Amino acid sequence: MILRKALPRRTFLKGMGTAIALPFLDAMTPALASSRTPGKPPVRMGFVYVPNGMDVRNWNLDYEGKLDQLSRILQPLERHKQEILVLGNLTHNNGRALLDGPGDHGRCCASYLTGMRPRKSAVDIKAGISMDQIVANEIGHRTRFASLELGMEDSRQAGDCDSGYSCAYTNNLAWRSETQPLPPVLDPRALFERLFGADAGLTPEAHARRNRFRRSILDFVTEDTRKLQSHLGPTDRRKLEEFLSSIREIERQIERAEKDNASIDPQMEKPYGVPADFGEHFKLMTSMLTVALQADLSRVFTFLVTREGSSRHYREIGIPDGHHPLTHHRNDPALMEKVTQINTYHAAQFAAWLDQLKSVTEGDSTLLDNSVIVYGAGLCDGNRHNHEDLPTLIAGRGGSSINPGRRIEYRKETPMSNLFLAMMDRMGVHAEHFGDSTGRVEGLNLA
Amino acid sequence: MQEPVKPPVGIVFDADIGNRIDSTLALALLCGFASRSEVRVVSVSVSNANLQAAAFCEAVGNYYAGSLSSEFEGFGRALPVGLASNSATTQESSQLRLPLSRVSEEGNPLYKYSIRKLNDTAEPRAVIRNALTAQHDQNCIVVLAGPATNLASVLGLPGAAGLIAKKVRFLSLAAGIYPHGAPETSIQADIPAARKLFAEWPASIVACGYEVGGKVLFPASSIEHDFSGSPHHPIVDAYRAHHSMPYDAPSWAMAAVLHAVRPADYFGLSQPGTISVQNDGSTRFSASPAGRHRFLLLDPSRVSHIVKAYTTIASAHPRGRQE
Repeated sequence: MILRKALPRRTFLKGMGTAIALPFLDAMTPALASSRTPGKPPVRMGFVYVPNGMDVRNWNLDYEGKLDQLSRILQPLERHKQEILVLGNLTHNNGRALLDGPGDHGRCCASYLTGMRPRKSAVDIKAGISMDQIVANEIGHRTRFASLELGMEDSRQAGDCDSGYSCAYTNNLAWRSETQPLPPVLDPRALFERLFGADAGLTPEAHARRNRFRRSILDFVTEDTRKLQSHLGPTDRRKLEEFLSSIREIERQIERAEKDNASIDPQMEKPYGVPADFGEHFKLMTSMLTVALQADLSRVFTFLVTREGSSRHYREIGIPDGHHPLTHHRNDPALMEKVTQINTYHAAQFAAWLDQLKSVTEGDSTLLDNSVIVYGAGLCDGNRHNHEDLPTLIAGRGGSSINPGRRIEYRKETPMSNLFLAMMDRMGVHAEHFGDSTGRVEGLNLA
Repeated sequence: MQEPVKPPVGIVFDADIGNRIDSTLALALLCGFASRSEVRVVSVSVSNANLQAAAFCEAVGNYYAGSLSSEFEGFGRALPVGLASNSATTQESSQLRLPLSRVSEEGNPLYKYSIRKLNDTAEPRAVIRNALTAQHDQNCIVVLAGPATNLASVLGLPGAAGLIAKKVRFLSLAAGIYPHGAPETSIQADIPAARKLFAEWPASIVACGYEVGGKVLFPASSIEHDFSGSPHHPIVDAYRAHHSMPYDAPSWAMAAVLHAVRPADYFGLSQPGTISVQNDGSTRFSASPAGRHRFLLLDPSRVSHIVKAYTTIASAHPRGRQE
């Protein structure tokens, strides 16, 4: 019998205050045991949240079963049709007014992952522990970061952001406890340093000054890299090179953003290293997320693409109007068209990220295969502010626990919390109830 | 602190629709009250697994909502109808099939409804629980006309008992015979659910027994005359299809609705006590000062007064409806 010693899953390239975790390599799987549990890639779970609902006329599909013709907003995901599961009729009752009056944006974001009715207050906040944090609490000890929280716009935690609801409600997805949200990291440099570096205490200006003279972090781990490569086969060597190249490319993108920001718009409100271009920013953040998931730095993440109620413009695609005002279109076809374009643009960014996840191989599967990622919004129609039939899809196969390539329509009023219970099961975290659940959704893994 | 201004009481209506005509009449009575803005219908659910029953409820709701506004369609805001999906029986029902199959001269359905498949309906316990969450404290009344299946299921949800205690004034229930009697169909249909309901319901219960509903009959003459304000009426079509005309119908579900909306005006009440469900599906009332259950008492001299309320309100021409 041939049995070689497997490389530990938690192997790092170390040097000068840097420790780079490695992606899943074939060498981490014991010989003749490729499909056994010890070498099986972990399942990652995450949420990509887009604000202000959708133009649901152009999101909804009017059929169930195998995915066929996609709607206009979903068109960018055409090449991923076999990797997505589109879900209908999921509802967040606790996003509704329920006697609390206006404030649907604050409520829908706060209840999205908590399943709870947030307290209407600009100061005395209270929602609930979010589903990602329940999972992170159970499995987070296995990775360097229990969870990662990413965003791209406005992480203010104080003030009134929606009709008496605190900005903490509109600007966070993850809640560690019912009173403690986990603000997302917006700045690519900050995220990079968190994932790979050790100089998080520096100011942005100090970062930039230091970066002008410093080399890539990869330079600090050259010796470790060389030693490791000598023990790897050709496939793993190529995989390692690609992985390190992707980190280097991220570094370059961040440096470029910092340089651009310093020269183009010194008054801009964005953090120092945030690219001005939405697509560039999205790509940078998701590239780092890919590396983090690939290297098993974390198995749980949330990505608040822009804050709920965002009035960001989209000049990148020729839309100078604010997103939120556009969604109150009063059925004006011209405004509705712009909303659809923004929704489609978001979906296109997401689709590009799925390309990345698909390109990362893990044994005989891909990183996307081993993920379960919800993409969706906390409002259905941004014009109507309704909280039923929320636009929702799942990307990935959750290991082999999800069978995508289909649309499932659930019964009306089916709590979103029922989906979350089913997802928690797939992460090995079992709970009887969550939020306003009435049970578990079924059919995620049906052929 | 100033008390919030409360809207008209919200009614959660759960019924066996299509098997008995009295539940259909109770739905008409409820919609009549809603047309007069005496109540808001905040939830409708069906305890028998019959898709046509859910579609019929939607059609009736749309009919009574008339053309007030698109926002008012379907009990206020396109409320989904709850439909039990685990009930064993799905009986063919002429009182449902006929109105739903009627078409206009242009070939369009005479009564508008959108429910065509199970996923067009909601899980009853979700729709009922969600409706309760949106009510002011003590500003909701639950009416049950039929098996307790759906309400017992609501009681099984975490936090439901506290929610009911906070939001619901009382449950008005058409099932059983009081103070005791032979087994009754609605109880027999799901004895465990009935037991759970009487044992665990965290608010008052007022039961309308067969002994009341059987003595106050809804007159066929009302169908012939009182509903003539509209050339087409889903309740008239259902009534005619249910049985050869003319026939008068027992009204225990209507009595449960009438008492829920106007509790002081029509019926007497027993002393407080506790209702228990026996193994054979019969009910037994035991008086006790601390009990939270009561049953309706009928004063024979009030029968004509009650019938007049039934016929006047159920046949009210829907406000805003254009013919």
